[in-house]
Amino acid sequence: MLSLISRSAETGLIIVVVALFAARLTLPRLKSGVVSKLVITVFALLFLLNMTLWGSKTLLLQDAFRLDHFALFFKGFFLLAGIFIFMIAGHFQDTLAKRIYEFYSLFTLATLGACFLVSANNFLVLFLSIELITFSLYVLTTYWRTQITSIEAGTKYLVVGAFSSAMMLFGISFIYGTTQTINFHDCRSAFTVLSAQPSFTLLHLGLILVLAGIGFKISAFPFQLWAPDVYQGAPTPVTAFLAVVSKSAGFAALMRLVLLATGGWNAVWILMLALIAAATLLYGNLGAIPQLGGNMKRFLAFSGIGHAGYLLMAMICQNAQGYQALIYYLVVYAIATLTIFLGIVLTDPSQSDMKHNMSDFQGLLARSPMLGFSFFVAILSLAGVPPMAGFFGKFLVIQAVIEKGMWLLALIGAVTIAISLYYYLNVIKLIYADQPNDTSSIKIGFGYQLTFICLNLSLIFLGVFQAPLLHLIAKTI
Amino acid sequence: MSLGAYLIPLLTLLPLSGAVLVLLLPAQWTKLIRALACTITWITLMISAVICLHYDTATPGFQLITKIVWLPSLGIAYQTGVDGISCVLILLHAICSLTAVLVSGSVENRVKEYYVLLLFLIASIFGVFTALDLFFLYVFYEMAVVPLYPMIIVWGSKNKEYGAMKLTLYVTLGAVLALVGLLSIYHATGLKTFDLIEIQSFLAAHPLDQTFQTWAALLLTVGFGVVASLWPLHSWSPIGYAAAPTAVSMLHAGVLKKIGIYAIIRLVLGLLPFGASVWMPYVAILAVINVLYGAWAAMAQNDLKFVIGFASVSHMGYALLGISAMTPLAVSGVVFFMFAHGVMAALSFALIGFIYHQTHTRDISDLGGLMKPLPFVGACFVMAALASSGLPGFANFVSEIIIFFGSWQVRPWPTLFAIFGIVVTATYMLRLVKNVFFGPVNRKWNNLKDAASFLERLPYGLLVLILLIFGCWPAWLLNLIRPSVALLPLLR
Repeated sequence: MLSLISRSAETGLIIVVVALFAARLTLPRLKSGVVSKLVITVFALLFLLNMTLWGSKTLLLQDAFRLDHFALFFKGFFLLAGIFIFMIAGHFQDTLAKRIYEFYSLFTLATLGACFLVSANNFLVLFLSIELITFSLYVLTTYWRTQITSIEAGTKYLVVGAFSSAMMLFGISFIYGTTQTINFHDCRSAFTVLSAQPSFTLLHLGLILVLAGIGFKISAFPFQLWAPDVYQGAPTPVTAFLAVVSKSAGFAALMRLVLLATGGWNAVWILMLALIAAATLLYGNLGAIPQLGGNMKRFLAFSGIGHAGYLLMAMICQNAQGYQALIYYLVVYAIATLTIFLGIVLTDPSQSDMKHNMSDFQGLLARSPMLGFSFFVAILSLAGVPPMAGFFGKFLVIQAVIEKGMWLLALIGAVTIAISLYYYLNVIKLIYADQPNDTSSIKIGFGYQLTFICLNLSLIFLGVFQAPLLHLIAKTI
Repeated sequence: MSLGAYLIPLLTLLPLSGAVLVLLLPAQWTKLIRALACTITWITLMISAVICLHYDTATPGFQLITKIVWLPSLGIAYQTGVDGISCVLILLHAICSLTAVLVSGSVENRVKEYYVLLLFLIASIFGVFTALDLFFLYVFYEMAVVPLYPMIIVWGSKNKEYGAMKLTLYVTLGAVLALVGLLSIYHATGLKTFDLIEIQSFLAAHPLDQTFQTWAALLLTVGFGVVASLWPLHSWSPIGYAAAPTAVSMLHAGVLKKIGIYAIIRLVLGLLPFGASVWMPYVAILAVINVLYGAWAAMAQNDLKFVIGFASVSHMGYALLGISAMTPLAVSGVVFFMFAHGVMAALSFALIGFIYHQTHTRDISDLGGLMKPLPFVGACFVMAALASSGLPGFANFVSEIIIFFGSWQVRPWPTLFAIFGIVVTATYMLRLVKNVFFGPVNRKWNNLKDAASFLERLPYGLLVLILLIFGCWPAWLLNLIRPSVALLPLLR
C-alpha cells in the first residue's frame, strides 16, 4: 500500500507544492525561467511514475481513495495538460517574476485537486477535491492585479463558484441524510432500492443539487453564464486550465458519480439531461457567432460551452460506447484547445496589451507559418473536420446517441456541427486570408516550434489512426 | 486478390502523398510543384483508364477489392473497390483533375498552398468514389468539402467570402444530415459493420422496417440532395461557382456535385428501396423545378459564370429526374449523364476561366465578338454550348435521351416538362454564344491572345474530344454501367 501511495501523482504534487514553498523562502532570486523548466520536468517525471501504477486496481485509505485505470488515465491526462499549461504560463514569466512561486504552486494545487477528484470514492473526497481546484482558481483568476478585467473575472468566479459549492454540499447533506453514508458504493445500493419507487425523494433532490454543482464546473446550461467573462478576464494560462483541466475533471467526476454512486438513470433523468445537453449545444454554438470580431478568449468560452454540449450528449448514453466517446472527445478537445491557447500567448510576444482581440490574429499565417498552420489544424479539429481528430470525436458521440435511439438529440448535435463551422471558418479566414494590421513576423523559439509540431501531428494522427487511443480508453471503463 | 486491386487505393494515396510532398517543398520551387501536380494527375488518369479497361462486365458486382482492417471494434475497414458506376465516375474525375491542374497554370500567388489544397481535394474525391465502407465514404466526402473554403477565399473572385461560406455551410449541413442517416442504417442492420458490400447483401435479404426506411431515406436524400443542388437547396451553387477559382469550379461542378447523385443511387436506391419509392415522386417534381427554374434563371444572368452555374442547376434536374424514375434504363442514363455533364461543365468553366484571365471581366454585356481574337477558345466554347443544349453527336445528347426513355413510362408528366427545358437551354446557350463570341467586336478585345501552344490547348481539346468520342460511341461506357445498375433493387 505504501508503495502505491508513494508512487501516486498526489504525493508527488504535494512534494512539489512544499518544495516550491521552501524555494520561495530560501531561493527568492532564482530565475523564473529555471523554475518553470524545473516544474515542467518534475511533472513529466510524475507522469511516468503515474504510468508505472498502470494495472493496479485497489481501494485505499478506508475506501476513500480509488486507484484504477480510469483514475490513472485521467491523472496522466491532467499531468500532461499541466505541462502544456506551464508552457503557456512560461510566456508570462516577466510579468509575474516577483510572484512566480505562488503562481506555480497554485497551479500545482489545482492539479492536485483534479487528481484527487478522479480517485474520489466518497462524497467528502469529491467535495474537498473540487474545492481544492476552485479555491486555487479563485486566486489564479485575479492574478493580474493591475487589470480590472482580471479582478472582475475573479470576483465573478468566486461568487458563482462559492454558490455552486454550497449547492453541492447541500445536496450531499441530503444524500447523507437519506442513505446514512457518504461512500459511493453504499449509495449505489440505496439508489437501486429507491429507484424502484417512482416517487420523488430527498435523495433525488440531493443528486440534482450535486449535479448542479458539477454543472457549474463543466459550464453546462443553465450554469454557464460565468464562463465568457471569466475566460476573457483571467490570465491566459488560467483560462487554459479552466477550459481543459477543470472541465475534464468535472466530466470525470460526473462519470464517476454515475458509474459508482448511482448505477444508472431512469427515463426522466435522461430526458432532463438531454434537454440540458441540447440547450448547452445551442447556447454555446449560437452564442459564439456574435463574438466574431470581438475577444478571442471570450469566443473560445462560447465554443467551449458548445463542446460541453457534445460531451453531455455522450454522457447521456450511459454505456461503454458513450463513455468511450466522451473520453476520446475530451482528449482531442484538450489537445486542440491547448494548441490554441499556446498560439494565443505566442501571437502577442510583446505582451503590450493582453486583450487578445480577434483582429490581432489577422493574417497570422503570413506572420508566422508555424502559428498559422497550428491554428488551422486546431480550429479544424474543433470544428470536426476530417482528417483531424475532432471529427472522429463528434462521430463517436453521434454514433453512440443514435444507438440509444435519441434521434432528435442526434439531429441537434449534427446541425450544430454545421452552425459551428460558420464561426470556425470565419476564424480560419481571419488567419489564412485577411491582411495583417501588423506585418512584422513573429519569432518562435525552437522548443515551442517542436511543441506545436507534436500537438499538430497528434491531432492528425489521432484522427486517422483512432484505434490505439480507443483501445486504451476501452480499458479505463 | 489480383495485383490490379492495389491500383485503386493508389488513386487516393498518390494525390494525397503529392499534397504532403508539396507542403514540404520550399514555396519558391513553383515549376517543380506544377510539374509534380501534372505528373500525379496524369498517372491517376492512366490508372483510371486501366481500371475501366480491366473491369470485367461479365461479373458486374464490386471488383478489385482490397480491405485493410481499421477499427474492428466499430466495424470500420478501409475497403476499396469499383463497380461499373464508380468506374465511370473515377474516369470522369481523373479527366477533370488533369485538366483542372493544366488550366491552373495561370495561378500566380501562393502557388504552393494552392497545389496542396488542390491535390488534397482531388485525393478526397477519388476516396469517395472508391470507398466501399460507409465510414470512409463519409470521411472522404467531408474532406472534399473543406479545402474548398480556403481555396475560394484566397484565389476566388467576386463576392468570394460570401460565396465560399454559403457553399461550405450548405454542403456541410447536407453532409451532417446524411451522417445521421448513415449511422442509423449502421445501427438498424445490427451487423456492427460499415462494410457496404456486407450491408448491401444483408439488406437485400432482410429489408428494413418500412417506417425506418422512410425516415432514413428522407435524411439521405435531402442530405446528399444539397450537394446535387436539389431545388430549393440549390442556391449555394451559382454563387459558389461564380466566386471559386477556375479549377475549383471545374472540379465542383464537374465531379463533386455528382457525389450527391452517386450517393443517392448507392445508398438510397441501393439500400432503402422502399424508402426511395416513398420520396421519389416528390423528387421528380423538384427535379422538374430544377430544370425549368435553373434554365429561366440562367436566361436572366449577365455574368458568364452565373449562366453556367444556373445551367448546371438546371442540368442536375435531368439526373434527379432519372433517379426518381427508379428504372434500370433511367439510372444507367443518369450515370452516363454524370460523365457527360461533368466533362461539359469542366470544359465550360475552364473556358470561362481562360476568358476571364484575359479580359478580367465576365459581364456578357461587356464582351462581344471574341471569336475574332480567340478562334480556338471560341470554337471550343461553341462546342460546349451545343453539348449543353443536347445536340446529337455529343455525349450529353445520348445520356439525356436515355434518361427520358427510362423515365417516360414511370413519370410521364415530369419527363414532358423536363424535355421542354431543353428548348429553354438551347435558347440561353445560343444567346450567350451570340453575345460573347459574335456580333460587333468590342475594340478593347482586339489584342487578346488565343491559346496557342499545344500545352495551352490540351485541356480544352481533350475535353471536347471526349465529349465527341462518347457522343458517337457511347456503347463502351454503357456496357460498363448497365450490368452494374441492373444489380440495384430497382423497378423492373
